Amino acid sequence: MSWADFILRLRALVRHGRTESELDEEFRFHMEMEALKARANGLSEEEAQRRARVQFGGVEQAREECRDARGLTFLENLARDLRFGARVLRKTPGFTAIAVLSLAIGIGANTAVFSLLDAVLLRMLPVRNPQQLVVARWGTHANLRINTTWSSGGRADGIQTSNVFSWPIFQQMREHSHALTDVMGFSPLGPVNVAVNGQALSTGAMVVSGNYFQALGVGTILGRPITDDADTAGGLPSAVISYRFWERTLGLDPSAAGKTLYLNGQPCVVVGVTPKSFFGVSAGGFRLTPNLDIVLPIRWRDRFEGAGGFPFSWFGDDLFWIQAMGRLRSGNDAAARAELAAIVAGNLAESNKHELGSEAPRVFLESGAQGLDALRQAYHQPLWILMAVVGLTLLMACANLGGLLLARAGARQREILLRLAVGASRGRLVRQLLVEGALLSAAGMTAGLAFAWWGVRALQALVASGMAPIPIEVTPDARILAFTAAVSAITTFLFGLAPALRTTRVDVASGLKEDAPAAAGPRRLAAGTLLLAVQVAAALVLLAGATLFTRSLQNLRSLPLGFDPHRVTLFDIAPGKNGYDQARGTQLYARLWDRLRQIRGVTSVSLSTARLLGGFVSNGGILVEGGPGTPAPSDFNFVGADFLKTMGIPTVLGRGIEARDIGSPARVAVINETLARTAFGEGSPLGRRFRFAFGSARDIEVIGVVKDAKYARLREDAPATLYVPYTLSLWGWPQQMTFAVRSVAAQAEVTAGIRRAVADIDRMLPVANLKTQEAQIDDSLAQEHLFATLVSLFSAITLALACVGLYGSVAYAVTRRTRELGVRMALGASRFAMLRMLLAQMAITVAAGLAIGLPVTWMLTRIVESQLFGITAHDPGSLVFACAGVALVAMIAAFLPARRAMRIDPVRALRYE
Amino acid sequence: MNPESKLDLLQGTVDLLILRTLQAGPLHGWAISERIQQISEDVLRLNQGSLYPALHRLEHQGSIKAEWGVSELGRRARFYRLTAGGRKQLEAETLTWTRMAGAIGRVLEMA
Repeated sequence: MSWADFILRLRALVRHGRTESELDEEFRFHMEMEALKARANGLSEEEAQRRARVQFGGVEQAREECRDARGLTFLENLARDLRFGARVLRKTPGFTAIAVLSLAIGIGANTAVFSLLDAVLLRMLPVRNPQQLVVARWGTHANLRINTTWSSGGRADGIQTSNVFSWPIFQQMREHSHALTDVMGFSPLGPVNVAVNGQALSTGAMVVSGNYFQALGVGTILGRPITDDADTAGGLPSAVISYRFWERTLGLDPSAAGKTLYLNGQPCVVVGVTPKSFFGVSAGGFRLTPNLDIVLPIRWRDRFEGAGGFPFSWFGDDLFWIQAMGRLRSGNDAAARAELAAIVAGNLAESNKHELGSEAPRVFLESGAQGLDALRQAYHQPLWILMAVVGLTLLMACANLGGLLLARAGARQREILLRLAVGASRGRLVRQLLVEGALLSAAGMTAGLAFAWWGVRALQALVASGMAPIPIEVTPDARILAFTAAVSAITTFLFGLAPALRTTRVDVASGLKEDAPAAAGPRRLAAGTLLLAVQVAAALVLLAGATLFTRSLQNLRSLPLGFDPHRVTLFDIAPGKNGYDQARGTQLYARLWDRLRQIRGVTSVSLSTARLLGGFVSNGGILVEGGPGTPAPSDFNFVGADFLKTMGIPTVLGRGIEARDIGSPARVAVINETLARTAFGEGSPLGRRFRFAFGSARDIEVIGVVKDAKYARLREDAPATLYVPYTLSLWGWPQQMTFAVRSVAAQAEVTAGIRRAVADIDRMLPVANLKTQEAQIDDSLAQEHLFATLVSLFSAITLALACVGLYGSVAYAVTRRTRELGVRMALGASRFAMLRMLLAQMAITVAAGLAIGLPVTWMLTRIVESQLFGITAHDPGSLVFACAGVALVAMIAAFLPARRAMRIDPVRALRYE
Repeated sequence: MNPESKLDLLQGTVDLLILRTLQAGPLHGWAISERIQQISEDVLRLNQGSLYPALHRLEHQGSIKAEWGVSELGRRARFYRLTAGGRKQLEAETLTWTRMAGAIGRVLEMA
């Protein structure tokens, strides 16, 4: 149908009323002429009128026939099909509800997960020509002694590579590279203390070269971007803040530009705000700097160092700290790499050049189109596994719908044959069935989109609860809508067309005979059975996955911790960044410790350099007096008074570290049982002395032994651990500490009390990472929890869908075979024999499903093996449980409708047809 | 005016008659039925219930075209006119009809 034709038909449809009135006028004219003729033949006016009307016959009938003769327009047909389809769907509300629900779940879950996947893994940076962006790395075979700040390593061609460059190298790359243009540099500052607008908080910041915003093609929605390496506003460093930060701290204040904020105690001036969709070159931030909210000019880097000084010059050739990104216009990356390698070689420090000898450094360029890789790496596997799971759910939903429609097509066979017999064209029927499918899938898609909208939020909350929060905007956007539409269209095609064609292929004459339902028998039944088996298989795969993930999570949760995580609240403060020195810092810790103990309900307070199960640990070796000359390895935790008491780690011998030990000239420490065994051997370690294998050479006396407790990671056994007063820290005074507060009061009260206590002592000092010790553990299990929850959820949905399919299929079989069953009964078959017969057929289907599902499960669970703990991917117990679970639930679903067969009355059944 | 004398027309012949009647020139519906009646000497009477649906069907097929015009008595009326396609259809159907009528006639004579 051409476009012009379509317009014509559309006009005809709109002008429908006028055509009707034209018809009336034509009829009227005819009757008038008839009456005229009658009058001419001598009849009275009245008689002539009457005769004309009689002669004409039924006006309404003629009108109707004309309408039919004129033929319906395409749109009228479509409207009629839609009305009819809607009526058919309304007539079977159960079927419609299940079909729409299946689709909604399939489409919705897919859209939600795809939205997230797209945002995290696929979407490009919201900058100009992101596909041109490349990230530079460099490396040498020789092991150079270079100083780096945070960097990410990697291997390429057997070379250990690094992603950071020195200032001189970066400068040369920016100014002299021809193949790579718009070379920009940046470097994360790590979490920083920020005081702004009367509040203190901890967030992420980074420094960038002056061309950063211009090279990316990103502007500001308020104020101006940074334009110079040493960009200044009123003599102070300029700062560009993120939309998120602007919203959180300044309430979207339109006069934010010009405001002063204190970053690690140093004043800066806000000059601009970046757009909402822009999260920097690394959407997920960097490993130790998850939320990038503040961007500063690179030349001001040394100002934000905090206390303690820094032993290197930021702008010399012996410190590597700047990450570089640029635009590769020509696509000739060999030339760019050679050029950059020469720049690196020419600008290394003399000592490095010497170490390198004749070797030329190599440079590698990776695509930077999607930004840096931190977030993508962290979520890569979980998201794809999740996508596979929901993909399976969609497959399942489609199989379910296909099965339902197939069964229904069977039930409607008579209606369809009748329509064929009275002259409906095949194309017309196929179209009618397709319209029904399209209606269903449109309804499913609408419901699915609503579900997706909700699902994205739920998923984001679920994912963000533990791991680094996803700062990306995730909304179902146009591309995702297109994706959903495609899924929906394919679904319509899958389940709409196949049954439609099959049904209309049957032979009308034989089909209308008495045994009609058997006419299209074997093939349709085979297809139906296969669809059911596929559903059973999908349910098995997901149930097996859910069992494995759930048991793995249980294994992790039931691990003995060695400490008591209940009712303990943790938070970090980092006074060192705000310029506190050792004297003031130690005093602050002592005051805060005192102050926190006075909060109502608090029973114990302590502090430590590392929080338990926080993922970080400091370690080294100790040399025991009278022991072997080699250092015994141990993890260290530098703690304040009452740490062991607060964390509930039981003392075995001696005593814990108390207030009098902090800052005391008597140097004491507590060890755990593992360290006692590995480093001190037989006999009581109490009173024995040791020293650190490096750093301070003075002796420390063991005053207590405690039970083993987990330290950095849940999955690892409790390590040999040494608890030392923080005033004896190996690395000078600890510039940041984690406080632990044990309280019997309500959580909200504890939280408020902590915030007040810190603010009372220093308003500029942010409370960071405030959470309960239990939440800290949950966070470390976030991914496991996510998998267990989602896979269980989807396996329940899948199993439920499979059961609906089985139930429907058996119920339909009973209806279809009522007469046959009646005959069997009349011939003496027992009711139980018939139940057995029906169930046996279902059992074969279920067994076929399990047979398909088991090898698939076997293969798929291997992929997730790395995500499991304390259980193998082929754990027999879990597989047996999953098989038995699916089989049991499936057979119950089959049994319920099969019972109806037992109640068939043979007499009535035989009369039925 | 004897309704009983009306012959039931075979399906398809109505179309043929209409097309043939229109060969002379455009006519409105009433005129078509009158012409058929006159020429057939009142043997063939077109029921309006089959005339108008047939006209609309032929129009939909593209064999005839309808347009509003003014009748001999100055009234607005819908005139039907043969199209090129209709002319071809008429030729083909006339041929078929003559052949069939001849065949039936021969059978009736000879058998």
